[in-house]
Amino acid sequence: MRVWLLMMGLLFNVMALHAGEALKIGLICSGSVTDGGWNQLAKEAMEKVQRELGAKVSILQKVSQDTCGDELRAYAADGYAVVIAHGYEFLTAAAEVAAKETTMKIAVSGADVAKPGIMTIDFDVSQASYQLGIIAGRLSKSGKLGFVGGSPIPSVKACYRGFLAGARSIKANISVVEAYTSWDEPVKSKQQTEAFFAQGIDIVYHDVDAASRGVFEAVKERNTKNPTSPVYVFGCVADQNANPICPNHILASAVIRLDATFRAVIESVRANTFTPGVVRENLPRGTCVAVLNPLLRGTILTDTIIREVEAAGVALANGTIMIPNE
Amino acid sequence: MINESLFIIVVAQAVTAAVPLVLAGVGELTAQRAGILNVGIEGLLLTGCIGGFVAATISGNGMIGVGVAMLAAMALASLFAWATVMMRADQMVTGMAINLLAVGGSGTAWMLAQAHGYAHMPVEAGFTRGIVPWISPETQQWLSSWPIIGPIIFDQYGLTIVVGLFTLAVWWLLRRTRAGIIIQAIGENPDSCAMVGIHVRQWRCGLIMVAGACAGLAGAYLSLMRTHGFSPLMSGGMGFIILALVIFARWQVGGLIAVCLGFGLVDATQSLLQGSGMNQVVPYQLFQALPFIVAFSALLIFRRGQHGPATLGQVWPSTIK
Repeated sequence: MRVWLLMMGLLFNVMALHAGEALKIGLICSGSVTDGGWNQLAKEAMEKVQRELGAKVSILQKVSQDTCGDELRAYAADGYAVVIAHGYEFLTAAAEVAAKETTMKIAVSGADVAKPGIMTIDFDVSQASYQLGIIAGRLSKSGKLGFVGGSPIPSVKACYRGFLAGARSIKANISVVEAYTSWDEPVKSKQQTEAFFAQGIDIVYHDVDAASRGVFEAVKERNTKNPTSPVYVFGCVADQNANPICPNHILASAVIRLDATFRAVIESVRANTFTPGVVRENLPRGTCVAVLNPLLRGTILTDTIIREVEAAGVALANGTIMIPNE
Repeated sequence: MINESLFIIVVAQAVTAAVPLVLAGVGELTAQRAGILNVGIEGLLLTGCIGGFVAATISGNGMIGVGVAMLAAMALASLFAWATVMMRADQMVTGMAINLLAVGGSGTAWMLAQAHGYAHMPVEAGFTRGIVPWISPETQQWLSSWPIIGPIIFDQYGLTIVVGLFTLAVWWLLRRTRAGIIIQAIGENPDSCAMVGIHVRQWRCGLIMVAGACAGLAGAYLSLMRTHGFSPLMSGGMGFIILALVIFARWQVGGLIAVCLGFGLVDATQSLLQGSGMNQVVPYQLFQALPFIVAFSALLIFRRGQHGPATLGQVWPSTIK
């Protein structure tokens, strides 16, 4: 009996030790993690990191700007080592909590403003968007391009600026019309894309998150109706090249590799090297990249275009090409 | 700036946008004529979206999706009917609760669908454009290419013609039949109706269920026809717009069709204006607000004679004997 008790006590101690070792990580999302976009990408990235690093992960969904502070304080009280607040809107609340909370580390993803005590992670997709602009500039027959965004927040405007600059590097007089609809209403993004096509726009780039389905549906419908002069689309944030709606008409996607970013943040906490400040994720770091649709390589995406895109990637990385600020 | 062909495209888009508004609006209008104010119509729409999507995705059959969308919304509407008609709960509060329930329920169903590999709808389960059912794509293409009526009439989804006929039937029912008179009477003076032997509660429950079926079908239009998929909150406040449009139409079916088409026209125009680069000059928020500004202005301008059914939104009977 004593031996059994001793063994159980030992087992309990070992389990407690392992439980103590597992890093507690929190993720705060403004929307649903099933949105098919920004929040879902974060959840998937966090799950990947969890598998790789064996951390204990807690995810909070649909957290509003005003309740973010309370959630962060609750995480701190519960002994979490690091929390990633996934969205620009959480910046102020995160800074307020960080001013009083010194043990728990806080990172805000999707923000580019330095605040004391927190790490902000800026995803600069403008360079990858520039590469997409090159493709659009080469392939557009009408010389009219469309850009539809969820709302004109800085990260979305950066996509537009990069896309415009890339397209104009090929054709100086090409036009890129920008429009804004909604993040989660595919019906609206579809209507906007249909309006683009009605005005002769033949390539559309979107950053509308969960509403991207509407953009893809409009492309599919338009190409079914008029297959002789096809229209094309670019994906954003996630790799949408294999989307089941229009896989043969999506040229490429500007992809954010969130898992790499999250892993870097968590490893820095684990190694005790977490440093507050702005981290810029971009093309040179390999975290915001253009991914061409493998189905279209060698057909519409000719070797010449691919070489041009790759050369632009090198020039963007070494600073030879700069994206205009406004 | 907007040439003739663009004008036709805008009108065609307006018709496309007006279909779910008219369909769910007719159901809501009929229920409101009987004194029921169902603010939960947004939730019913969302329930139709997810119900239709999940059923069509699992079965691979769009018609099953349509049926389930209607049944799911009717199930939620029955909860509203039980609470407000049978249990005499406040209609406004219950309607809001229905909306919250639908947001949570649809989100959970969507999460489960994704977890079980039903995130994408099979191509054959989605409805494609074409107002005449079971015709070849070539014939559809030919019909759509007809000048003016091609894009405006023939290049719509099949539900458009159903909605047109249903709306006509409701108009006839409300204007020309005894049932129409009873519905109106229940909304104006349910006590008198009860005294002459009309089953007020049964009528009201029935109308709530019909309105639920209409909203569910409108939800299926959004998920199975317009977008071939689901995303959380995809109804985007359409239910609340419908509530405003029913008031603006002064509870008349003809008026409802007109205001829904007008709303769709302004909405399509703002998309076109954004697409023409106008938002370099005018803030995009103004374009997005344009349909609402027009609807609100029209409400103020045409406010005369705008009183609704006398007992709209009121608990009945007001006292329990």
